[in-house]
Amino acid sequence: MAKRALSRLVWLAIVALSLAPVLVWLLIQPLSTRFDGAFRIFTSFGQLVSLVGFVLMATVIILAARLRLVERGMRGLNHVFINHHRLGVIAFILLLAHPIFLAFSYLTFSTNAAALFLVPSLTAWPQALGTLALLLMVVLLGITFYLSWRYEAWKFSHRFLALAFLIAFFHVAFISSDVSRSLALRFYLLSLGALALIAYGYRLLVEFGHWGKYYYVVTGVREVATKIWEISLMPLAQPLAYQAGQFAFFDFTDPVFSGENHPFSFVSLPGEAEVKIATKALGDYTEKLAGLKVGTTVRLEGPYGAFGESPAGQAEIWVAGGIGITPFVGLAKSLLGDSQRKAELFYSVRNEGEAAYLDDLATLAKNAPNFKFIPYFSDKSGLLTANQIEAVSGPLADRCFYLCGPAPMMRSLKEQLLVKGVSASKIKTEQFKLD
Amino acid sequence: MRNYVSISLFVFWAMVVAIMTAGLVFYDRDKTPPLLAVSSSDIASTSSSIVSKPVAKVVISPSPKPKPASPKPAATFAPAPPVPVVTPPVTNPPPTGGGVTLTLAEVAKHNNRNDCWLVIGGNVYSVASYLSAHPGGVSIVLPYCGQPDASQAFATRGGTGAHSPSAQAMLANYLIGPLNQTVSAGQVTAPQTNQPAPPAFSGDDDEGDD
Repeated sequence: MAKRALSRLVWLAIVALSLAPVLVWLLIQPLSTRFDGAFRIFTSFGQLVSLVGFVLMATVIILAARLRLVERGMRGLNHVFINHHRLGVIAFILLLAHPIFLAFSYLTFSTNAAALFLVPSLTAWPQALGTLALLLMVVLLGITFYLSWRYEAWKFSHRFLALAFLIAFFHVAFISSDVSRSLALRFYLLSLGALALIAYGYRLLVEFGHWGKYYYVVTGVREVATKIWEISLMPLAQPLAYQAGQFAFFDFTDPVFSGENHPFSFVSLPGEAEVKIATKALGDYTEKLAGLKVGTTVRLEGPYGAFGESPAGQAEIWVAGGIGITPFVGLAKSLLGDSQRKAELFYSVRNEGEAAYLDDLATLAKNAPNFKFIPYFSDKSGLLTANQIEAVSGPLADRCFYLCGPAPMMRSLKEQLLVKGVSASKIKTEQFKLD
Repeated sequence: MRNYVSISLFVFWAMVVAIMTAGLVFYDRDKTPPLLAVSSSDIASTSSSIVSKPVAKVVISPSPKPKPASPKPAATFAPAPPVPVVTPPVTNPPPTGGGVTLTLAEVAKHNNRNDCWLVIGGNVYSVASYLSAHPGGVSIVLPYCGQPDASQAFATRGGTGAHSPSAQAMLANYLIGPLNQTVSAGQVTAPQTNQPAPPAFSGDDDEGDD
């Protein structure tokens, strides 16, 4: 319950943050003068979209800082990222509309004035800063949305959006407009902007420095199924405290990984001496992991994720697709000592050869009366459907679901479950690719 | 989400291209407001270069000492003119009787929030309807209303830099006419409607201008 309240609070905060400058703007001068004639109407809309757009952009940067409180509030880093993405899109669209509305207001004077407005000029450099910031956003988000760059290259490019924000910050600071005349508006926007820039600085320190890092060393790599490797690690110093179902970002310091860091779920339990993760060779990076040498140092950042945290009591239904089994391995192990919680795990993989931890999970199911394990081979029986789950588990409507697997599979299953009357709030999903 | 981005980007670039194209196509037409075209025929030598660009930044100082064009400038500001003093001999004949000559003395009368004339680059602008929308606030402009020359203040934006080209283009819309020119009363009373633009400009050019 407390978590739900926190989640609401975070959303309330975002809405309040976005609407506060609008409120101040409304109070600065009588509304009648704001929407008096075409020129004023366009200008006012131009201002409004920029106020909300700027606040959302600041929010989006703060979300990207992976702050613990925000992660708790949004129930998992994947949700933080999804919201970062959504709010980012909204901010971008609003900011695109900003110069267009203003150009329209000039258009009520002359096409000449409107065209001149769109051309950056040094004499009006605060305005030119705004143009520059927006163009930078257009280019960088063009890369995000339309070019499929390699993850690390994309990430490198995406970082520069903070530069666009910095330029926009100076645009806000020096433009002569309501933000220059209203002290309240000025203070609000600039403090929020500064906060976002500080959050970004913090993120850079974490990413490139030693803050919040845990050092481990690779102690073993073994193949647990076709093209699936389990990597074991021992802490070099203070171990990271995590819970079953959570994940961390792993940065293997071997030069072949060129400093990339990727998220992996823990398949080990918190009490175990070793930290274990499992990875399937799906791309360049994960393929290289197979050749990981024992003794390689690893930097862990985390833990993140709230997958598997739930009110106990009723039998949950877990559905894993392929390598999406990893968070459930830890969670299933945790059931042994937790009689309060019951779960039925459906593990959908192509065939037995590709199924990792098959024996471990089957053994666990024998020893733990509160855990049922149902492997499902799609080569033989086709894709797993809600009907098939229902055939095993009985009526689904009031059950709680955890899904982790390929995105199309999760989408399809979620739709089927909704049709069966399961409420959306009872379906929790975890992507194994955070993007 | 990607679709929303695509649509927005498309609309954004379409608008930008359309506005820029329109700006280029109508460039010459907009540059010389119709009003000026009428009155520029017989302007005292000083301002002729400014006419095509009414917003020129430099002070071609219409100094308090008036130009040769108006031989008896002092006469024009008579508080209660018994005779139609308003039509000095040298300037254009106004179409109808009620013409106003834009002398400095006449300008000086328009010195308040509700009736503000500015002299910039040898031209007289009536900007009262815009004042409330001025991004820098009304009070910054007010001291220049009715003054002999606000060119410097406009060019340097009160010493803080410069007005944007778009702000300068906007100014053209408030033009009444060149200093010492006689214009019809109608042009003076409704100076802002010389464009097919909205009649009620209480504009605000948010982005970095005035």
